[in-house]
Amino acid sequence: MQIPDVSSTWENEISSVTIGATEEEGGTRSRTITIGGETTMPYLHFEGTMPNRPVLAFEIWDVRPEDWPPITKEPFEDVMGNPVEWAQKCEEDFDPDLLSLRLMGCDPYGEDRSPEGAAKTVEKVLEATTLPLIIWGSGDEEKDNEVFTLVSPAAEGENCLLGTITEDNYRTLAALGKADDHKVIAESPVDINIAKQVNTLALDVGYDLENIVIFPNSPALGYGIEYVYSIMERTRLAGLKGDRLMAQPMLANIGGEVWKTKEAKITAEERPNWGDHRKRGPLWEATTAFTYLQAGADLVIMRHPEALNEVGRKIDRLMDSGGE
Amino acid sequence: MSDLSAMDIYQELPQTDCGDCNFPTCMAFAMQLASKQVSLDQCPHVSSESEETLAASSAPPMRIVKIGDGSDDVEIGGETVQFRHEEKFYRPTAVSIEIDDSLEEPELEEKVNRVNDLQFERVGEKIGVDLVTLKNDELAPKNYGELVETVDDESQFPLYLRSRNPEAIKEGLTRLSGGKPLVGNATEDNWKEMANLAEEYETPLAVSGYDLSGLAELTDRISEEGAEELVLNPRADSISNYLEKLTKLRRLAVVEEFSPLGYPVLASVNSGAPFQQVADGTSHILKYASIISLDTTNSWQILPLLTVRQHIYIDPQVQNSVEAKLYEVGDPGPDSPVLFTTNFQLTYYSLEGEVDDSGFSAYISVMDTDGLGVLNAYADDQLTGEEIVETVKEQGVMDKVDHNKLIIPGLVGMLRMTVQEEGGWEVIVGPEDAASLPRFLRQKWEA
Repeated sequence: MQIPDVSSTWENEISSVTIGATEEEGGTRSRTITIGGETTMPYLHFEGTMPNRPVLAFEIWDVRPEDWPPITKEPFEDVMGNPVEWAQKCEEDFDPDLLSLRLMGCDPYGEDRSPEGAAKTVEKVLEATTLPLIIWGSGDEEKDNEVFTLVSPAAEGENCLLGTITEDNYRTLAALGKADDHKVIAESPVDINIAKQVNTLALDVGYDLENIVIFPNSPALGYGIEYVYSIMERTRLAGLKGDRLMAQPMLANIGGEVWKTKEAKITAEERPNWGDHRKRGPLWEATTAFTYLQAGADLVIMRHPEALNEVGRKIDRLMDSGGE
Repeated sequence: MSDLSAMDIYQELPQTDCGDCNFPTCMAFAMQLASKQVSLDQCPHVSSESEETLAASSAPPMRIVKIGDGSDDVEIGGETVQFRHEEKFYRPTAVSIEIDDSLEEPELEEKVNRVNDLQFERVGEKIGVDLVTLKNDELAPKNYGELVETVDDESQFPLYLRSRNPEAIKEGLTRLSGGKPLVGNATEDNWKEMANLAEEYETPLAVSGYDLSGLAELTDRISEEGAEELVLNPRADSISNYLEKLTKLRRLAVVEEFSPLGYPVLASVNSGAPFQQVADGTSHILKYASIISLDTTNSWQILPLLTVRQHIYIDPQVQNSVEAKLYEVGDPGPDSPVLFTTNFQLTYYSLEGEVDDSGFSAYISVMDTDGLGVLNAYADDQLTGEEIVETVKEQGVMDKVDHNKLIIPGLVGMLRMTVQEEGGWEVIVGPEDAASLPRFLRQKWEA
């Protein structure tokens, strides 16, 4: 029976963003990572292309994270508190695509480390590792601006991904990213209009849209994931239809969200009918990632090695178009 | 295809409010027709001219299929959109757990009991598996029929009888005396016998094929035999091939309204590594299965799948709210902190999760803001200092504690003085986001 052709074609292509720089490109990374470039909704190989495989990054902190549950600390117990060794261990033992360094030690309500110290840490991590690097501040806007003012030039030439610019705080980081040739993360609080607004503001201060990765926040499975699932689908559809302010690759940073949920943390002793905790926790993180990847996430930042490994296998299978 | 409004449809109905369609009024029925949730033939009185006028817009583009005949029956299908933000997804994916016919007692009963136990409660809602897939790979028809009877007695759920052999299906159906199980699979080789069984026993039928045009031909022939409650079971050789087929089927049903494929879809999850089972089950729930069938009884695998389903099927057009009342997290006593927030579901559950995390027990006083978050409720003038005082007083929480302190969300810190003066409490401004609460409590809380 003849059936109607239901393939969709789209006007626009999602922009491609490359993170990292090799020696030839003025950096010291062993490879670069490119995300984005889609001409279709996720994994619909029959009607468009996904030239770049979605990628996974490991989350690393500059200080020992006391709040992480034991199951996420175990694999890194011997190196936590030393970001250089932690980063090396991730890179050597678990094979992520990128590393994501969070400068939590700079938090003014925590250890309140200095911008100078943060810049040193970044330099040392870059020296000791070869993968492209994502760098986050502690989340305190004022302090992050001070920190990035030294961190950004310290990483010059390495083409890092820096985060985040927000609706209220974009000038400093956008200017630094532009001056030192870094990519930036545009963050919005589960609101597609604000996501667009942040991109507009970055564009207004002369930052190139082609260098932005959209981060619409990424609540864990069971805690509002459906909002961002739909925001990502709407963003990607708008981008493919030709809205240049929505045509950027998207990021989900799920580790911190997942590992504060009961479902990931609570042991089988406390909740017998939820089953084996050592499996359930990593699977909660993996399933959160599966969901965002299906909505169009291009980059997922994670914490647990088994979860990262399983999500990598899933991406391989989704990217396999079956051949001829 | 043009869509008629509920009002347009109402004009064509008898307007007698007779109730024969099982809706109280013609207008209520018209609204259901407009959202393509019912079919026009539920109205026995509509004139043939009106029927013609309404034909295009009245048929649900994807059939609704009911499996089971009792308190645990499951309705699937009737979906109208590709993306949940366009409207919503209507009928949550049914999760069916597979049982092999090679299982013997006592393993069989143990497994059925484990399936029965796959029920959970999350964010105030009961979630669980829905069906049992009883595979016929080994047993002769008569023995399979006996097995069907045994499993039906022990299981809480409707069955999906899965066999290539119509004889085996017939044995099963005769022993179920009604019960409306899903049966299948009808294929190129057995479709006629299967269709006749489905029609005779008035039970839904799964139809299987590799390519979509072959599948469309099969459903066409089968519906001519009189079997109309069909479920499509496309075979696929990889997860991306599944995604392609299920995406095309959804578009054919809801965009093209291509009736030979306007049925709900079943997707099987291959047995394999446990994480990959959940990975594939997640893909199918998101895109676009109305039933998934898989072989596991591990609750650590089933819970995330059911949670994906629970949240993806939330209606995006409705503000999701929790009941506005006083909540107790942990085991709060006279020294415990008292927090205040609004009844937006996400706000409340984030806060509850963080309190749980903090090691503190606490009272949370939740105000009715029609499901708006803190900042939106403030912007909307619903959340004022006076309203906070009224809510906290009404719920009587300050009588339960020995201290006089109330923590309000950091996002409305400007209301502190009003609340303090009107309520007569010491008002503390909390953090702006829930995630900072554990640290805030550890550093600042003293009863």
